[in-house]
Amino acid sequence: MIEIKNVSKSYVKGQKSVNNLNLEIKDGEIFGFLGPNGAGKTTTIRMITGILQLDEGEIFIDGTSISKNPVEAKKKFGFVPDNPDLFLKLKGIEYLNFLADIYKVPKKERLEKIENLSKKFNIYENLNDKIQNYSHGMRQKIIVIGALLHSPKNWILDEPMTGLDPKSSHDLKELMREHAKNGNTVFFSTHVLEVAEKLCDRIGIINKGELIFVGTYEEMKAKFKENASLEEMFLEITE
Amino acid sequence: MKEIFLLTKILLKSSTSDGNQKNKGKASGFGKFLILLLVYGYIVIFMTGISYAAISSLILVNQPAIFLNLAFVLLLGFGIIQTIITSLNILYFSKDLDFLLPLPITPQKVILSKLNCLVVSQYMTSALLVLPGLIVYGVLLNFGASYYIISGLALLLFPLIPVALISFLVTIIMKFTKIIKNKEMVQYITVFLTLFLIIGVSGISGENSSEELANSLLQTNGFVQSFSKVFPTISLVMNSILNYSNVNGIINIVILATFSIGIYYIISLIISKLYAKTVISITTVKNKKTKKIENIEEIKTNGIFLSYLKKEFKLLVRNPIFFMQCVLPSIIFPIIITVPAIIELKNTTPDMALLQSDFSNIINTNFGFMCFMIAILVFYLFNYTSITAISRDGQNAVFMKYIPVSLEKQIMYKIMPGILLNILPIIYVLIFGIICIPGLELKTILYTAVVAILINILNNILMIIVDLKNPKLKWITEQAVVKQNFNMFFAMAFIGVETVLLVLLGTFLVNLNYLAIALIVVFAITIIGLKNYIKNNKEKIFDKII
Repeated sequence: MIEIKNVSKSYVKGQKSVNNLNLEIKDGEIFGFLGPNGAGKTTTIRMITGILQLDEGEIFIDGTSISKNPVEAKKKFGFVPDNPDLFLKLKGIEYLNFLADIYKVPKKERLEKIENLSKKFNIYENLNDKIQNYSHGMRQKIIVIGALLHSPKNWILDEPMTGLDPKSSHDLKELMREHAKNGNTVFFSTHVLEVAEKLCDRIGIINKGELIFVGTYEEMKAKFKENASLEEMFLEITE
Repeated sequence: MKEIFLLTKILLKSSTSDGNQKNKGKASGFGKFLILLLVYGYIVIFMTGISYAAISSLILVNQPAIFLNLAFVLLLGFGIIQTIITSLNILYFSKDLDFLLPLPITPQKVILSKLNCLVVSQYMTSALLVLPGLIVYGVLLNFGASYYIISGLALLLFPLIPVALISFLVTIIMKFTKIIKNKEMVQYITVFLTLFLIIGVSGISGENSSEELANSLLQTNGFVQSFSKVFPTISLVMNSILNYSNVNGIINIVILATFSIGIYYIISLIISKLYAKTVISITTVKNKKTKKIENIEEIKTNGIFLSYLKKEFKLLVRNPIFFMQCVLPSIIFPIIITVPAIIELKNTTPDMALLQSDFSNIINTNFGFMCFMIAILVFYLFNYTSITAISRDGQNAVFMKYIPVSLEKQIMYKIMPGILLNILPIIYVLIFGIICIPGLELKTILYTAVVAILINILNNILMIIVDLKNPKLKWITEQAVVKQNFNMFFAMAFIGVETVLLVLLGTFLVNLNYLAIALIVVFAITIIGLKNYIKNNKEKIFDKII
């Protein structure tokens, strides 16, 4: 579970990039975080993951505060950043093994995970190659696999579908569904409204740092226009 | 012409901006300017002091021109090494190629703009290393305004031919090495081959016999003659400056300008003919075919520290630019300096025996200890691993903040390569002492090793803090991480302060025991203090990493 309580963040004095954000992503839920460019999505994700310090408020990952007990809180999530160009000079297998060392994944478990996930994402044959030689999509896959190695209860993904081919995108969505079904949490940001519409249990829309809607797709339709698509509603809300 | 100017401006701007715009206000901009001013001021004062001492001494023996020779030879040597690495990166491995290649600009304009960037970077070096000396030279010898005008013009024209020739050489080598599918290997081979060719050609064209070559290496004028054959502009520069007051100076500077600009333009044209095909094949080349993973069971588990350290070393060694700029100097330079010194001192000529005996008498005193320490500190200056530890990671630095490893521990892991590399100069210097200076006591060796290791740890912590506080995370070419990283100057400042402290304590404390214990206490307390500072301020220290 991810709890965001009264969180605010400013980069420039007097101009809040995220303003008094309150959000709770429950266990067993897939939560899609939407918003136009510069709305505060990435800032929120960076605060949840401990990359950015909060100016005000508190964030808890399974009850552990990211500000007060960052190391313990960070063990409880797997994070896929928006930029997949990580450690390009390492081989795929070296990157995964390094992450498994960092998260102290036992050898047997890491071997199983690496083999299963890399085969599922069709990247097993390339594990011995340097990440710099991977395509954008392959880099995204290796980052996703790395984030899942330690079997975190909470998945936090920043634009995870970017660059993935249709099959991998489908597989990732399946993994997300399966993960949530097992009582875990998935929090992801996306620009692809169709993905949010079909995959998410709930969605949140942020604009200019303010959370302007949280609820299910059905609740959104009830609140705004019954017959409108998510795209039309999104545009109406954020404009 | 306008396009070249604009493109040069954009390339220079994009390579010098650090990209951390979000947290930047006017205050931080002013602060940075102030720091830069202080750091530049420090170097300029340092170079002015050295130049003053050197020129004054040379005036006494009526040979002031030797200073000019030495200054330009050093500038040329420094510039050659710098340009080999930089030109390879700027021309063939910079991230802007994907944007530049599709633009409707002729290859020659792209090449000229990139060469201009290389020349500007040489100007920065000249401004710091040679300009203060030239001014001191003019002042001490009471030269008039025409000296400064001619010298200024010479400094502006001087880098044109070396930059063009080296870029041409790099292009030719790239033309052949592009068939190698491993990009890192191409970079290593090209740099070493270019260096080898330049040293080889200067040796062959400068002198005939090995004995003469050896003599020339010991004499500045020999160096000049040797380099002049490859870079004839060095003679023109010298003649222009030395004859500034008569028509010869003007004639030489006009020849230098015509020659330099002409060659610069012609070579840019030749490079542009070879460039497009080579660069396209480089940017699209795939590394050698993937070796399939044979037995996944073979992967090894490690503790966090060892795993992190292995990752740091792999990222350093597998990146030729980082390796050659951050690691190699700290391995090579101490060898270049200590090995010939050992050989020379082992020659049992009467002079050398006298020198050794003089050293033996003082080696176990404060003075001897200070000599060892200062040599080690100077060698520390060549190790750039910790001062670039965060900047080298670029956008990946943010990784440190979301993994479940405390930030203070990660700082210690990241400085380990720097600390380990700095052990080498300690070993070199102590081996030099043990081999060449009879009577060196175990106590002196131990004191030197302990104090050097403490300074090593302290400096590496200080350097990573500087890099964390002012990281260069967005870069277009990898060489910018080192070349355009002004944090380097802090490393020099730390060594400067430590040297002053060493000399002061060494002068005032009566014996080596007191001196060593005082230094151990001072540096140990400073390290503990710094570790506490990191522990209590880690969020603040890391706030630029986002």
